[in-house]
Amino acid sequence: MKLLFRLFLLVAVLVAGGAAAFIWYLRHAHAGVSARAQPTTVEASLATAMRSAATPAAVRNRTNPVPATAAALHEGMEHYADHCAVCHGNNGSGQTLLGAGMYPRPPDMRLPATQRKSDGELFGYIENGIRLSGMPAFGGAAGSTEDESWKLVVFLRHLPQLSAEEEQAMERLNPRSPMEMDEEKKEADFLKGSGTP
Amino acid sequence: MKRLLLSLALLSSTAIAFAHGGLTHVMGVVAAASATTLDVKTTDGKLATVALDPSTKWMKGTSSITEGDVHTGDRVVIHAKPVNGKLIAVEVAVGAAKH
Repeated sequence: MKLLFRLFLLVAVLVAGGAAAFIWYLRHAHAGVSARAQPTTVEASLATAMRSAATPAAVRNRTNPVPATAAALHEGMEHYADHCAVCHGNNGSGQTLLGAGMYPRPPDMRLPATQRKSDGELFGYIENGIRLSGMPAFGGAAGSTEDESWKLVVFLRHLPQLSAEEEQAMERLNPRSPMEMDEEKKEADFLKGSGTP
Repeated sequence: MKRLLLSLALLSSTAIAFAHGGLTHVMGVVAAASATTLDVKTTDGKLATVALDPSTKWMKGTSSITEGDVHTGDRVVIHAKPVNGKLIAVEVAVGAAKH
């Protein structure tokens, strides 16, 4: 009984010490809870490993029921340009205004780190989101259907081969505010010759 | 609120405006073109110098063009990235119409 108490005490001290060290690290070595810092290599590796380990095998092993046809790719591209590009960029690089301020930054999804993931894993991230990151859940109450999410997976697989023409076409599908639409019209009219140069 | 509305009105009337994606839009006529910069006389009469970059995209309508296709007097709309007080062109759209 005494041994059990000592063991409990040791665990409690270790947990408290670990928590204190983590808080010290956040305050002094990591600029508090600022999202401006980049995750360290250790933090990124640990988080990535834990995320993969936490993904249920039933989700990871799912295969895409949507064939990678031109129509599915196009629908996925349209959906991506409307919902995902604001953070991930049309080309999947993650080099966006919002992405630059996130912790962790959105990954470059053209690279093997993303492309090596199974269809089921990518589908799971789209449907359920990723906790403690900027990735929201698009499935369930958010309203996207599973079919739409699988088509997004088809498009994600195409990202490494995305052409400049496709990227340009996507720009026309990105969400715009009324002010941005007005500005675009003014610029288009100017280029056509209207107004004083 | 009045200050905000005034700022929005001024922003919409100027030829150099901030737009989505953190890019600045420059609208005007090419006053001078070199291999590294474009000088643009903006629609409000100011002169803006925009640096060019190997990754700068050049467009005329929906077609890609090259830097050599842009000449003095061309109407342009430039989407540029502000870096250390300088504007670096991300995309230069050239109009069909001449000045």
